[in-house]
Amino acid sequence: MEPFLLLTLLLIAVGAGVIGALFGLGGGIIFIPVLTILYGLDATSATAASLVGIVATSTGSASGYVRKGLSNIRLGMMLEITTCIGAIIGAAAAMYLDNTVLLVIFSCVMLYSGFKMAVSPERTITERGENTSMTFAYDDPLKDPPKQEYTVKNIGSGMALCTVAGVVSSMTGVGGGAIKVPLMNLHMHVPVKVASATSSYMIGITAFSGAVIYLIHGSVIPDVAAAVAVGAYVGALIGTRISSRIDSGSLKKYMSVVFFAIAVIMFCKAGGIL
Amino acid sequence: MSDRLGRQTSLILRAGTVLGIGIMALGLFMTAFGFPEDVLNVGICVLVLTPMAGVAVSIKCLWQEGDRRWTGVALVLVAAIAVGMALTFFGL
Repeated sequence: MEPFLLLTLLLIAVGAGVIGALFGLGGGIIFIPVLTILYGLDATSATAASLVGIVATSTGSASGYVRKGLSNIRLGMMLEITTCIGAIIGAAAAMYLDNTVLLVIFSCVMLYSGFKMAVSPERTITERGENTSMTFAYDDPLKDPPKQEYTVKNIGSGMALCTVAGVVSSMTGVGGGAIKVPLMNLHMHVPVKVASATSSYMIGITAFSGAVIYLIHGSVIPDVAAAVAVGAYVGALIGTRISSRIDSGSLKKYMSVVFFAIAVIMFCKAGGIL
Repeated sequence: MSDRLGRQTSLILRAGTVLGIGIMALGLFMTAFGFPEDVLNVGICVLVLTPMAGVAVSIKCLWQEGDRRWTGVALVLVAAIAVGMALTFFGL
């Protein structure tokens, strides 16, 4: 690819990395349309480059979030199990089902999640004296006291819903983080900052398995994937810094706007516009 | 979360990402001057393998802490990923 085009791609990837790191999304929803529509790549090459970019966003932001205790590694690994199982089911189902209906359902879920994120207060702080094996803590310098404890609720149903997230993500090609963040926050009572940071950690693991397959099949265009990854990494570093300066309430409101935007993109995709 | 688990997982994620991205940035610069793309492929491989290196380090820390429950959860995750990749690779 021409050096100028690679440079513009790198700059777009910076923006995607910022959004991905802030809201716990992979960035595939930005990378794939940009690479197919603006750069004329086929769907396979675009997906392969996107997965490399998602790994860069994820590891770039998760390394900082894990160090600060914001990414909950244990919760992430547990939910990732059922997400992987869902992805396997989704890959099998995708051969037999038209994903248009699924895209519309996904859009509706995003609209609902966006609305709930905008209006629901944080219901996440541990009740006094509550201490279970799923009680965790993190530091939020914007709160008083900075050490915030939370207890993860609805674990069984949360894991089951992560299977659904894996199915939907695998069938539509996007949506892993977009489903997991509201799921963790609204259903499992995980604080929104921890939910987005844990999602950032998880999507790297999800993207790893896809990216390795594309690498083995030789579908990764090296210069395109590298430009996406370098830009996404820079964006992830910026997003991680911004995240530490935004309070949870504002983050939830910005996140609801992002979910509404994702819903619109998915409706367009279902209608064949994208 | 234990400090050690977070610290070591963060360290391996950071090291792998910085190394992979550094190699890719160098590779992009070199390919602009007509060098082959091999360096880029090395960087991509290092980056892509980093999340699983993080999981491996987490398993090691959890095992050393004697946290058998969460070590088991992590090993089940690795098994699920391996099954998923095998099914994808062999065309399901």
